[in-house]
Amino acid sequence: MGNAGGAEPLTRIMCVEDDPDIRELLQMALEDLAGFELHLAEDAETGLSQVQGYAPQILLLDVMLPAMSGPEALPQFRQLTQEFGTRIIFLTAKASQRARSEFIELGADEVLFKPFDPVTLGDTLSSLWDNWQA
Amino acid sequence: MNNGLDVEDFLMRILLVEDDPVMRTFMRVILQSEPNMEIEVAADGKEGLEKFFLNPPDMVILDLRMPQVDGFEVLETIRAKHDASVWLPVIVVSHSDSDEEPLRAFRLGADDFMVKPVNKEILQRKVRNFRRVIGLQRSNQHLAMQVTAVTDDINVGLITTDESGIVNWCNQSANCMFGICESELEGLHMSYLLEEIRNFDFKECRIEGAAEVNGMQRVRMKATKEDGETFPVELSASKLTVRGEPMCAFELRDLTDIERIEEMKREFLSVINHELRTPLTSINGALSVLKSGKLGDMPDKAMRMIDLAHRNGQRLHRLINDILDFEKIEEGKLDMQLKPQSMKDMTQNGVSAMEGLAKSSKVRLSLKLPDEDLIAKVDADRIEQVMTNLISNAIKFSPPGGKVQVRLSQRVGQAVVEVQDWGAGIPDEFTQRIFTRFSQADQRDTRTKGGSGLGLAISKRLVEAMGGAIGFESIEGKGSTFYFSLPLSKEVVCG
Repeated sequence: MGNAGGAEPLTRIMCVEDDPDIRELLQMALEDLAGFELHLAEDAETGLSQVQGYAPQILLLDVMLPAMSGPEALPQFRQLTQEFGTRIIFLTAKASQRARSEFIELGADEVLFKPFDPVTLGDTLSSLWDNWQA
Repeated sequence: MNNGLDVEDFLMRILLVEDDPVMRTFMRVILQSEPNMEIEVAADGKEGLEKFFLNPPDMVILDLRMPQVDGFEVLETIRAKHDASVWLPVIVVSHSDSDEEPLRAFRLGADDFMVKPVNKEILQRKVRNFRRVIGLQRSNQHLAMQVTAVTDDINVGLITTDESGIVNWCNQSANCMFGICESELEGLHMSYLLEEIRNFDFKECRIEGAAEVNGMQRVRMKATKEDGETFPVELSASKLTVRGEPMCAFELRDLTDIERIEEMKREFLSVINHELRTPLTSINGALSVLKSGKLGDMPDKAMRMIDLAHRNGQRLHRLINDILDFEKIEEGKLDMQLKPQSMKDMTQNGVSAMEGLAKSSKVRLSLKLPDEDLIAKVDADRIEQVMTNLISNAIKFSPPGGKVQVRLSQRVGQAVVEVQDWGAGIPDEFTQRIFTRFSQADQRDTRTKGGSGLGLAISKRLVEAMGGAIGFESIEGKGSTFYFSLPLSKEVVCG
């Protein structure tokens, strides 16, 4: 999943999250506080239809989504974003090391747990991104 | 043991069939002198049969030679028509010394004979002997009925098999459990009922690798009903010997209802996990943003309220984590990644994580580490969870201006972490319950100290699951020292 552009700074993030309040919180954390460009989708289907148009560098994908779950949608997101080298991070309330290993096994690049701290979320994503670029 | 029946002291009813009036009276008088005996007499074979079937006696004394219906005919009729499951002894009275008459009578179903003229003592002794046998037989039946009543009535399936695993006895519950109320399980191989029992050693009555509780193995298995439907059972097996034959005794409990409840509990917890965490993410997140000051300054009083809300939101988050952790531990589903770890690093991390709380509680937190590192094979996150739990307890129960000391040391192959405080100590009456869940010495502590009452219960289980031990010493009014030890590992810490 190498990034052809080398050390490109993180600017474009897409989040797929069904809870409207958490979407707003993500917007606060990633747009207002961290200054990224953010694109929000409320379910996997919408996300899949928009992901190529937006070409995010990082995709934050909620695990528990209505209709199609995060893990179910992951292979299609991978396929659609192959050309952009998008990093996909699961966002889950299932906080355990086992859950983490399971999701990594499923093909996620990283797993973040809810509740997350919106004040530090931007920094967390930046440092993950920097590590991946290194 | 009183089984409700005395072998010799029951009322025995004898039917005496004899056509000779002198002999009849003679025998009746002898029999009537015996205790607890009721004598019915009949003067010929026809009357004998009538009286027999009108009110069947416990025993018959029967003259063989009688006009019209003789003793042989009476005997034949009794044996043909009377319920054979109830043993009814018949003593025949023969007229000759030859073996011919008694032999014929035996072949027709007689149990014993006497020769005329009947000797008084022989009659008495024979009747007493039969009385004893009948008494024993009845008490046996009574016992058997009692056992059957109990084994059929209990809600546990009981099955015994021979050494090859063929069922040789079962109770009614076992039959019904497998949906075979009509026929019987006897003669079937156990693997027909429990597919997973294939690798069971029927000779030793053991399941390879199954846990043992009080000398009995208990395992969960899927059992298969007659119609192919499966249901969960808990199986325990024990070895026994019946009349020199080795056997396996199985106890089966239908877990259908229990598993349904367990499933409901799991669903409930998973709902708690998701449905509580989601709003909590928004609440804590929003408060954290406000608190950060990044949206602008707040009046002091407003800030204090935000701080209060945020603190309690985090407390609720910890409580949810504790409840879920505890359930996972109880179900044995806690995943631990045991790796050789530096005890020095983990202790340092535990202390660092608690420095904020110590500062806000105005408690001085100090740390004493050994020169050389100690290595234990543990799950580092879980050990830090135990450390922060012990340290935060010590801080919470220390007065402002107090101190808490954390020490790491080595003792006989163990790494020992001690957390000492000089607080109020633990009341004597509470020391027994301290590691049980939802226990706090003072119920008010739940509110004032912000604990869930699960921390120590979780810590104990975590430490024990990693092969360690946890304990404490406390003097009321002087303070407490909580400690845990972990076996040292010879392995090297890998990155």
